[in-house]
Amino acid sequence: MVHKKIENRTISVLTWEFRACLKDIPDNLIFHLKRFDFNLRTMQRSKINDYFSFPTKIDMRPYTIDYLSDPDTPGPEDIFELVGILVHSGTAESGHYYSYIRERPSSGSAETWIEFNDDLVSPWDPETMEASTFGGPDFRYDNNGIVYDKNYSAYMLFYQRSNTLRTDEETMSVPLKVDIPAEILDHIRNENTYILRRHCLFDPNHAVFVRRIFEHCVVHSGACSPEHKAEKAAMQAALGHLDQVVSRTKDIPDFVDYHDMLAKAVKNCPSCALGLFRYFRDRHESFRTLVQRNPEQLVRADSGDLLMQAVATIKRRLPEVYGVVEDALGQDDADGWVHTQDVVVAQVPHIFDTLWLAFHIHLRSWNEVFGIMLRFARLGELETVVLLNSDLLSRMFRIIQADSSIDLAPNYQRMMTNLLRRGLNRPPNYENVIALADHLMSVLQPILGPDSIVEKADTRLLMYCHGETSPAWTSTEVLTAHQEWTTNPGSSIFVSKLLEINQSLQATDNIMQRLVRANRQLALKVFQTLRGNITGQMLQGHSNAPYLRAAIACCKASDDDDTVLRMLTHVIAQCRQLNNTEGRAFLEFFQKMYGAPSPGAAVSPWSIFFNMTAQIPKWTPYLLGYYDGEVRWQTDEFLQRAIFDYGVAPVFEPEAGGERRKEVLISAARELGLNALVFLRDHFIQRRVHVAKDMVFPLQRVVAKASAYFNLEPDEPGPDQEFAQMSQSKPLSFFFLFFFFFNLRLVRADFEHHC
Amino acid sequence: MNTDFRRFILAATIRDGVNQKLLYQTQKLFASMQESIRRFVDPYLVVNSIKTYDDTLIDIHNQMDVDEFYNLLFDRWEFQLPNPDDKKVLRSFYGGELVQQVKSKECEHVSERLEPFSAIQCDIKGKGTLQDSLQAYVGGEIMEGGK
Repeated sequence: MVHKKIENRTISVLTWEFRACLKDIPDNLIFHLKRFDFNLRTMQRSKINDYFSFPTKIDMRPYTIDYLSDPDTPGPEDIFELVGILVHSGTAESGHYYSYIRERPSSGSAETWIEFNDDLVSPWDPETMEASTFGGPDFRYDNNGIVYDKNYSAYMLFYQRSNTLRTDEETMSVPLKVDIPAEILDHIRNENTYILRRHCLFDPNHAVFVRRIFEHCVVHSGACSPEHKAEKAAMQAALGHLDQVVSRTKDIPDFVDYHDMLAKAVKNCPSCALGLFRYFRDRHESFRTLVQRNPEQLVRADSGDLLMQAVATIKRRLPEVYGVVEDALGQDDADGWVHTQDVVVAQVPHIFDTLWLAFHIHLRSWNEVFGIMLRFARLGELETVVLLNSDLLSRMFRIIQADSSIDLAPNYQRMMTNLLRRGLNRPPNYENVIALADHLMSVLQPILGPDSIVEKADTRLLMYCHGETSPAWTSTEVLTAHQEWTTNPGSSIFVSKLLEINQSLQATDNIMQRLVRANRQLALKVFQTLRGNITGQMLQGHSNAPYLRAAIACCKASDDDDTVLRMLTHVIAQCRQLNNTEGRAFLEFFQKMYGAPSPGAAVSPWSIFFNMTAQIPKWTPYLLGYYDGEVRWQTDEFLQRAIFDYGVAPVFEPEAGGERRKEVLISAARELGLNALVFLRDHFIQRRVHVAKDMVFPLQRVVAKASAYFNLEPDEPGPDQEFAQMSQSKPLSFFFLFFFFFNLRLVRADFEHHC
Repeated sequence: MNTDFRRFILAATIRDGVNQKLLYQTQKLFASMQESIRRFVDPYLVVNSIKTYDDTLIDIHNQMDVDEFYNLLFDRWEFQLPNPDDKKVLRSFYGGELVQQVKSKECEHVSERLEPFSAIQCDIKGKGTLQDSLQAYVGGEIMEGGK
C-alpha cells in the first residue's frame, strides 16, 4: 500500500489497472475511429482531423486475451485484410459520408476498389488511400504558409479475416445471387421490365417495329376482319407510339410513314376510323399535344387531318354512330337528340373545346387548330350548326377584333400580350380564323333584325333540329361587329382589324359583303370605316390597299346607289392628292369597279356606270402623272379601253346604253383632254420642273387622242377654243409639235378602223 | 461482400408488415440492389421505418453519429427478427466479445467481465496508427483511489 500526504493528511492510495482485450473476433471486424470529441467544458462537439494511418493487413492476435495472458507462447497469426473504409467529410455538425470498398471476390488478379458516393459509383485507386483517408494536414493548399487539416478522413474501417476471404474466393460464383422471397422478386422483375421497355421505347428501331405490326395487321391483310380485334390492338399501339414517341423524336423521321399508314386505314375501314376517333376522344390532351403544341407544322397539320379523315369516314359509312339528325328533325325527340352525347358529331366539339382552352397561348398553331374546325364544319350543315352552337363564331370575331384599347376578357388579353411578344413582323396565321368565320357566317340569316338575333349561342342547335334551317345571330356576334372605336365614332373596330390583318382575302371579302347586306346600320358603319381608312396622304404604318380592295367587294354587295357613289367620290378625291406610294392600289380599285353592266341590266347599275364614266376625267390625270411608271402606263391603257377604243362617234344599242352612253362617253373624252392639259400646265410647265420624257408622255398621248374629239379650229369661244388654245400655246406646243401630229395620225387611223 | 448477411436478411420470415416494417424494407432494398437494373436505389423507405430511441422517425437533415446509427439499426433489426436464435445469429455477423480486466496492485486478484462489442473504439488523439491505437486499447489505464 502506498501512502501519500495530501493537505496534512495521510491517505492510503489503492491502485487498479484497467484494460480491455479481445476474446472473440468476428470474421467481419469493424473499427470505429473516435474522431468526434465532446468537450465537457464548452459542451461542444468537435471533429479531430489528425493524421491516422491504418494497414491493408493486420494481425489481430496480439490484442487477444489468449496472447496477452501468455505473450511468450506465440500462437498462429490471425490476419485481417482491409476491405472497406467509411469516410466522413465535413464538421461535427454537418458533412457527407462516402465509402471505398474492395471488390470481393476480386474480378481479376489485382485488387480492385470502388468508390460509393450516394448514387455515384466509380473505380477507386487504393494508391490514393493515404491522401484520401488518413487525414492530417493538406499540403496542397498553402495559403500564405498556413496549412489546414483536411476535413475528410476515414471514420470507420472494415476488415475481413483472411482465411474466410480465401474460402469465399474459392466457393463464390459470379454473379453473386442469393434467394429472394417470391413476392419481392416478382415486383422487381416487373419494374425491370417496365424500365427496359421505356428504354427500348426510344430506340429508333422500336418505331419501325410498331409500324410493321400495324402494317401486318391492317394494311397487308387486305380488308379488316369483322371482329377487328387484332386491328384494334395494332391501332392502339400505333397511335400510342405516334403520340408519345414518333411525333416527338428529333427530325420526326417516322412521322410521315405513320401518318400515311394511318390515313389509309381510316379512309378505307370504318372500324379503324372509329378506333382512331375514340382514341383521341378519350385523350384530349394527347390530341392537343399533337395538334396545338407540337413544334413541327407537319405534325400539327397531319394529325388534325387524320382525325377529320376518320370523322368523315364514320359519317359516310356509319351514319347511326355518327349521328343522323333527320330522324330527330321536327319531331318530339329533337330535344333528346340535342342532348345526346353518344354520337360522334356531338363529341367532336368537346375535343375542340379542349383546344380552345389554350388558343391564346399557342399562337403558332392557329392555322392547324382552326383548320380542323373548318374542315369539320365543311362536312355539312349540321356540323356547321353544331359549331355555331358552341359559340365558335363569336370567338372568331373576338380574335379578329381584339385590340389593346378595348376591354377584353382575360384569355383575349393574354392573347394580345402574346401577340405583342411575337412582334409586328411575325403575326400569327389568321387564314383559317377568317375562313372559319366566313364559313360559319355563310349559314346565318342574311338579314339582321330582331327576329334573327338570339341571346345565347347554344339554343341554335335545338332550333335547327326543330326545323329552323337558318340559324340566328347571337347578340355577342352582332355587338362585336358593331363595336365602334372611341377615337373614331361610326367606325367599326372589327372591320378595321379584319382588313388590317389582310389575310384570307376571299373570305375577308365575303365577310364584308355579308355585313353590308345584313342591315343598313351595319352597312353604313362598314362604309364609314372604309372611307376613314382610304386616304391619299402618306401615313406611317397605314396601308390603303386592303381597304380599297374591300371597298370594291362592298360596293358590289350594296344595293344603295348613294352609298356606292359616295365611296367613289371619296376615292376620287383622295386620288387627286395622292402623296403616298399606293397608286397601284387606287388604280386597281377603278379598274375593278368600272365596267359596263350586262345587256338588259336594271337601271341602277347603268346609272352608276354613267356616273363613273363621267368621273373618269377627274382622277385619271393624276395617275397619268404618277411617279410609278407602271401606274402611268396602265392608266393609259385603261383610258384606251374605256374611252378611246370606241372612237369619236360610237353607236350603242339600247340594251348596251344607247344614246346616253354615247353622250357620256364623248363628254368624258373632252373633259379628259382639257383636264390633262391643265394638269400638264399646272404640274410641269408652270413649275418649270425638269422631268424625264417618260413622265409626261402618257399625259401627252391622252391629250393627243382626246384632240380627235375637239374642233381644233373653232369659230366661237367654248371648250373647243380653250382646248385649241392651250394645246397650241407656245410652251406646250414646244412639247407637242412632234407628238401631236404624229399621234393624231395614229389616232385617226384607229378611228377609221372603228367606224 | 458479405453474402451470408444478405442471405440471412432475405431469409427472415415476415408475418407482420407493420411491426416488421424495417426488416421488410431492408429485404426489398437488398433484393433491389441484387436484381434491379436501376442505376441506383434510394433507401428512403428503409430510413423511414427506423424509429429512434425516443420513438420518433429519423431526421435526415440532422447529422447522426455513425456508431450511434449503427447500434440503433442493429437493435431495431434484432427486435424485429421473429426467432431468438436469429437474434443471436445477427449479432454474430459483425460483433464479437471482449474482456474487461481489473487488476489490483495491492493483491493478485483479477476480475474479468465479458462484454459483447459491435465495433472496436479506437482513440485518434495522440495515436498515429491503428496499431498504436490498439496497443493503447489493450495497454490499459492506471487509476488511483484514496481512503
